[in-house]
Amino acid sequence: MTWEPLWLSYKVALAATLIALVVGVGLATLLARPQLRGRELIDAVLTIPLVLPPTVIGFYLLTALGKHSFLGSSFEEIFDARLLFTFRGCVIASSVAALPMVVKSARIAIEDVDPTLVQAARTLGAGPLRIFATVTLPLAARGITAGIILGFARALGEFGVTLMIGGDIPGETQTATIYVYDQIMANHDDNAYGMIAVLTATAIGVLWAVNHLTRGRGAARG
Amino acid sequence: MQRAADDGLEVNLALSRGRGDDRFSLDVSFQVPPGITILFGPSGTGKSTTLQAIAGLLRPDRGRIAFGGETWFDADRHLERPTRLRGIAYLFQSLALFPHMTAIGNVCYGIARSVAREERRARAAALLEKLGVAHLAGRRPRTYSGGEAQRVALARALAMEPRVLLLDEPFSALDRDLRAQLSADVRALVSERKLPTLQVTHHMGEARAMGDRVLRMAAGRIVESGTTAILDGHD
Repeated sequence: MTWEPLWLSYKVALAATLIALVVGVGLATLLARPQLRGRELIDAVLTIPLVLPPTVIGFYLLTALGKHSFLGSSFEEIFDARLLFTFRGCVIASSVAALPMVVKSARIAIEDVDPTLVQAARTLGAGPLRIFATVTLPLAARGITAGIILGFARALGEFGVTLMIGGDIPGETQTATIYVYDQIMANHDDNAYGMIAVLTATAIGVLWAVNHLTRGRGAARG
Repeated sequence: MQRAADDGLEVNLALSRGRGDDRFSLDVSFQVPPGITILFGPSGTGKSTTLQAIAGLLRPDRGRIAFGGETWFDADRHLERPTRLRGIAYLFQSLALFPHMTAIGNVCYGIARSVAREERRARAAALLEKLGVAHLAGRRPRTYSGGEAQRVALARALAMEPRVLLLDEPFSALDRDLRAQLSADVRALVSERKLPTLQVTHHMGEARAMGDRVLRMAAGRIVESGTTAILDGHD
């Protein structure tokens, strides 16, 4: 039994969560603007990873990021490195899985901020960036944090898409979930017990933390 | 810290919103010289909408809003000055104090960022002191009483050295004694600063006690204007 896949999973999930945080909060801020046209359509597209089969998402990503694709070939030309079947591929797969969690939670949290407070900040001379940083973000912080934690858990548990675009290379792309699958398929269940226990404990911890954060939401607004 | 008032505010605006039975239209034209002008009328007549349009929080369909020689809005010339550059202090009915900031943080928020941090805090502390709520400096809004919250909101509005003060039913949540006390404080502060002030209310006593002039509104129009004597017979 080795713990290496678990460390790899944590590294992948951390990188994916950071990407989902930056991209997700930015998108949620846009989606929370009532004047944005087609925002429900954009929201639906961003939510697709929650409902589409992983094999279908994997197929889209293979097509979009393969070495004959525009994105894949451009990346290879600029960085002299591949996207697919590498650590980067695993991070992309997990980011796609984590993104809807962050966007959904962040959008609700941002929309929940009392619009009068934003108006008050405007009358007090603040521009949009200052209002976002000093009013919207602090008041939406709990909801956004809950989304980040859920996104991290979702990234950590990613399996299907990772297998399709990351592969199953021990030490490079074999994450904890793939390791568990390999061991059970090879009738080496006992090798997987430790990792199953850690993944389960992480999931319980995450759900507890999210419940705790969302329950205290009203109180934070005073 | 004080700023001599420029000329008054000139308001000429029209807008309509909604459809069918929900249709609401507003068409008003008036001036707000230094002192307190009361916008008086029952709920739903467009008083708060007028205030929001003056502040630039919503865009009128037609008209012009100007302060002194500065045009804030001109529909014909497609001119619209952003809210943050109008120099308006707006006291919201809900007060809209930032719940995650202390009283000092709230009051400092509107003071120009070009002012050094220590100076900003000193100004905020002095205003809180003047309004009798210095003890709230380090506390957040959820611990304030109704009257205390009003005073902190008023301090925040004045700290930015506004050119115009807009008050939207500012004392509606207060009991009679507190209302009288705060009304007197606001009157003193406005007259000391010679601030053009527009105050929305549907409370007759408040209109009489506070107003230098009254604009009586009904169904989106100004139906009468003059001294508080025009309120006689509308009890």
